[in-house]
Amino acid sequence: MRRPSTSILFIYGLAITLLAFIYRDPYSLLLISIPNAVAGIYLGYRRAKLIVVLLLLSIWGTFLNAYFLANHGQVVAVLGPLVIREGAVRATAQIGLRLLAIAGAALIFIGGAEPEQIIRDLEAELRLPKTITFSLAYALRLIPLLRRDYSEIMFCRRQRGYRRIAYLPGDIKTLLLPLLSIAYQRAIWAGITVELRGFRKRRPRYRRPRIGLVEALLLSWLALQVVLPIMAGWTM
Amino acid sequence: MNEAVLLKYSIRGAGYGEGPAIIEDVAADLGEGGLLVLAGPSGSGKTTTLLAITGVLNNLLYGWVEGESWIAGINPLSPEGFDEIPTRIGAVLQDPDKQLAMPTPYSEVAFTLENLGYPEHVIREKTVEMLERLGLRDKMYAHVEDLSGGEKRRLTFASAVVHDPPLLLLDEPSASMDPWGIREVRGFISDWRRRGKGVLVVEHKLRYFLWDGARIQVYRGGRVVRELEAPLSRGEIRFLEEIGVDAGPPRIRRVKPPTGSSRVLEARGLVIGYGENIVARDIDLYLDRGEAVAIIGRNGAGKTTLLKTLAGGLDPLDGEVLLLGEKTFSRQRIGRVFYVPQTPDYLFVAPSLEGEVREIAGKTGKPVDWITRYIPWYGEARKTSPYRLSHGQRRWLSIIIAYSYGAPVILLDEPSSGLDLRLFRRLAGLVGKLRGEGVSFLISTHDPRVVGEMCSRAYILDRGRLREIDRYRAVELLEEEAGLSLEEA
Repeated sequence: MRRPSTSILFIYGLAITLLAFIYRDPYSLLLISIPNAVAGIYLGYRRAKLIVVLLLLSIWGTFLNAYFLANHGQVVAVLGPLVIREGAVRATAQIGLRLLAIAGAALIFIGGAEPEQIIRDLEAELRLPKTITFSLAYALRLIPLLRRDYSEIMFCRRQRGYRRIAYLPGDIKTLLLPLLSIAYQRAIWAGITVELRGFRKRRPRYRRPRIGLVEALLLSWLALQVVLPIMAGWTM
Repeated sequence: MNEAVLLKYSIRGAGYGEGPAIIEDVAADLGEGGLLVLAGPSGSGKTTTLLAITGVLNNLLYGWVEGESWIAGINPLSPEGFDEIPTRIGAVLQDPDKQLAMPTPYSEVAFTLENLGYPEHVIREKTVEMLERLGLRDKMYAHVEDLSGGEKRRLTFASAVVHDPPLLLLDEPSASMDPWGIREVRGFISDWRRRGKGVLVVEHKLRYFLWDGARIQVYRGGRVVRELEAPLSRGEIRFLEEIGVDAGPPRIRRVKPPTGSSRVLEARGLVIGYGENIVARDIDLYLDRGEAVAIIGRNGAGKTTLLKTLAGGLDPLDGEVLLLGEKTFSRQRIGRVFYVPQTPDYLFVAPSLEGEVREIAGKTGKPVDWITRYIPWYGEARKTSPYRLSHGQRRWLSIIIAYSYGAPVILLDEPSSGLDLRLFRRLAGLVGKLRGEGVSFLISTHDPRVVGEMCSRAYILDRGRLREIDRYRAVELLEEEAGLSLEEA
């Protein structure tokens, strides 16, 4: 089966992200998060393991946040000195499912799109501004570099006696600080280079998006994720 | 403006933001087939000049430029001229990883042509032709991360010149290149000049770019302090080396091997690699207390894999590693055989130097004063983010981190990359001092200066095998592969 059109994949990803913000009901969130996460991990895990790592870190961060700010209601679990209440679990689940849906959609896009087509297809078919399409294409270029940075940083942290798995805020800071600082420097120079290669002169050539069987299936599945919660009477 | 003069500039002053001038009173011109080299120590204003004369500084980086610049009839300092400048220049920056923006070689080269509005069939034709010319056609749809360092560098050239601009601007093209890659860069520059194009090179490893007739402007403190023409006299080379420009042949100093020292690290029959992929096999090496030993070899030969295996970051596929006479598992070596990566930034964990020192003190139990004693510039930089320190300071700090952890063995991966001669010699001094305190160093390098001035022995890793090599021969080999000879250089 051929790869779906980059534009349709982009629309799909964007729509799922919007739904993740709109839906509040746990069943609606489950409907968009689990299938997209499963499909995303299947399609995009090899290309973007880092997103899965970041997702797990984010969910853990969400839990810590919820534990300190929304830990009220009935007691759900007691783990030594930690008393986890309904509010913390509900908040973590709600935000975690949203993150899962967004990460799943991102992984579907990364796994399904041909990176070198992204900038051309999104510009030509969706008429997106070149600054957005280039940022997307460059992000995909950065993923393997971030993966390499991540593995180097993790080894350096181990040499310096930090935990193998970063789960406390302080640990996460020592991981993210070098990761972001290095990426920032890289982005500045990449920006200079592309400008010197005429990026500001770039004029896209427009064309209509192609819609075949694969795209039709994808759009139908999207429609189902919009309609099903309404038909089932789940609150948004 | 005469079209035959490809570049002419006269900059009275230029700086970043609303800050003071970084460069003052710099001027030059360059004609067809000409070569102009801007040489000088790190921080002397060479790259700022490049950013100023191309209009990047005032049009992109919110900087300011006072003066004039003309590139092939265009004034890049004006917004309209800056829009047109990509049609007149090809720019290649220091680090290919910071320059390559697209996922495959084909899309990378085509990106330039797409930006400049070429029709699709021409884009296809020119892209394939350029990739063919630079030996990348077979890999045109490979992911750029699967290319070797040399291939990435060639790709940066291909994407910079596919539109056949009259002027090529190169910012430290030898950085992160092995001698084999440097030979390719030199060949490319020669070829480009033969075709009547102008070439401007910013470099502190000047000796790789000393073709007869090449004009050299020497920068110091943001000004041009001297103008020279190759070939250089001994006096000129001495002057350049004194200010930190690598202009003369590498020296081979007598590096005293430790006397009566005990063995600290030994590898026996080591096989290294990733899973099924064997990178090198039957590796036997040793390191004595207080010794510095070099490992040379091409990019991709497996030097970094070897260092990471010795440091415990990778499990050996076979063989054994002994530390202080005892056979060790990988995890037992982590932190005791301390690996300092080529990019020292990976090691830092705090938002300021002060915080970094506190972290080291917290983890090692060493007093802050003890640590700062080894950082002579600590006072002036304590509030600075470690990521914003100069290149030399970051390298320095990374070695001090390793030393503070009390590791008997420190593994340095390309420690001289990006350092000018002055900074290199300071770093060599630091390594010498720590060797005197009993620390041993194993250093992966392409740099003949490291082999000749810092190490007492050398190994070469070639075609999956490691063997000891005479130090003089190692320096000679690195020079030869870069297209120089010790005598000529």
